[in-house]
Amino acid sequence: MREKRRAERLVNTYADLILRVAYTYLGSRADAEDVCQETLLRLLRRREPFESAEHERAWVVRVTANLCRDLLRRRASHLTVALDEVSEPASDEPTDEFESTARVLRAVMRLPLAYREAIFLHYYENYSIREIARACDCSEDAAAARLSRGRAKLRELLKGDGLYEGDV
Amino acid sequence: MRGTFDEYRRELDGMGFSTGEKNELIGRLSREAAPRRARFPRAAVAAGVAIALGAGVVTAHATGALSAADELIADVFGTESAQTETIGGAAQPAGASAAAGGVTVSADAVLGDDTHYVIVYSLTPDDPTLFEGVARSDEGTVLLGFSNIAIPENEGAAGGGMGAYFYDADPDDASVQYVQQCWAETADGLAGTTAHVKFVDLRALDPETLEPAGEPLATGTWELEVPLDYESAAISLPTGQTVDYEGASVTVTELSVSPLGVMISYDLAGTPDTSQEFPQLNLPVFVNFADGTSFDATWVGGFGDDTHVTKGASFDRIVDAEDIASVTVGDVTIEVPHA
Repeated sequence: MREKRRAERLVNTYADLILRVAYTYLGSRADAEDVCQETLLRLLRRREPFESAEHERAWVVRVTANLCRDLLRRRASHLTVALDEVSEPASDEPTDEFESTARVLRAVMRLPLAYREAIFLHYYENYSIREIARACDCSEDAAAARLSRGRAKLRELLKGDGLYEGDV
Repeated sequence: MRGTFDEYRRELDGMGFSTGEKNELIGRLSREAAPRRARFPRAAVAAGVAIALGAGVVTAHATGALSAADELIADVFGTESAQTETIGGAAQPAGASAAAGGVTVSADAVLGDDTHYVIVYSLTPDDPTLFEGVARSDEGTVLLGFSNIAIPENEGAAGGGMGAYFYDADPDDASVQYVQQCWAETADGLAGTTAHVKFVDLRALDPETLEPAGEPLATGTWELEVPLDYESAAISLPTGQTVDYEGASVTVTELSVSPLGVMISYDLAGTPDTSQEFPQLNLPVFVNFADGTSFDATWVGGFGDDTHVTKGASFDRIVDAEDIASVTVGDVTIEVPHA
């Protein structure tokens, strides 16, 4: 019973956030849901108390990102296909119905992972440059560069779609 | 606020789980996160041996569960403190302590009833770094073990069983905790008796093999007399039922449940017709709870011989006795009487 109450709190507090973080990394709702369950399970099993709600949220984002990176690394290391099975490059068509209606999100998801990661952490989670650097295990200069280049690339993509409003 | 990123945030906010999906997720997590009785280190499983004091011994493994007092209870069972009142609270045995080889072992808490009890010990080393290099299992237990099968001896007990494991209640201090969850069959019940416990040589376990690795961390013998000073909340159930078990006729002679577990004794006429190694021990027994879940006590081991068996099992949490609805033995279900 206690575990269920804890699970309720954690799901209601973090499930959507984890889904959004994981989707940013993986680009697939199904994969994001798998990572969500794993992150919540780890959180549920964790015994050490958090210092604050902010500490807990930061832990959630960090663990989700790490699980996503692990998944991407595993897939990259096992990807072997015969030449005649290589698919055509992915089109610019949205991968799911949600993304088809979310124009900015769709454009962000077309950015390289390092850029969209920085954009998510800064513009959705309000991370500072320093916090992005810590989360991404890079220097502050590198974090700032990823954010700047991500914005520039996003501007190009939105212009190309005829959707740029000049405020990026 | 830039309009584009405002839109980005709104779009992301629109991504989420439905209420139904969240409820499913809660259910899955609750089940998966519940303490698992089957995944103890081999040392703990090896210590879960049912012993019998008499001829014709049939022994097998029994897995164990957890217990503590106050904060230790919450650590080990994951229960609310109110649940400890269900079984009369936790007592801290005075004087149950022994030192050897640079480690002091003290019994910090005991919970129990007439058939089941749990003791939580603390192992405090003189050298505060002694346990720092000891591996942890995926389940969070500390991979330590004693050289002996440290099952407590209970006065007047015909036999019993135990499961045990080590864990670290407070990583900031030098101590680790050792949990023993035990059951025993006695003529007059366990409450008010004393458990004699003996530990020999403390060793770290290899995380791959779960076998003792290297020299003992602490050499010596620790002997403690642990008073089982509590009031029992065990409920005795009606007996005399006869069921068919793989061609053998089984008659229930004793059956009790408590917030900590279940115990059953039965007579057998004939040999169960199965290929199992000790089929007499594996009579199907399920404890059924009010929420529709069940605890499977079929494969928990036990002791006895070809004509009489006693087996017991400890739950992986403290259960409110009011939530125990019935016990199914074979194809017979016995309701648990509640006041």
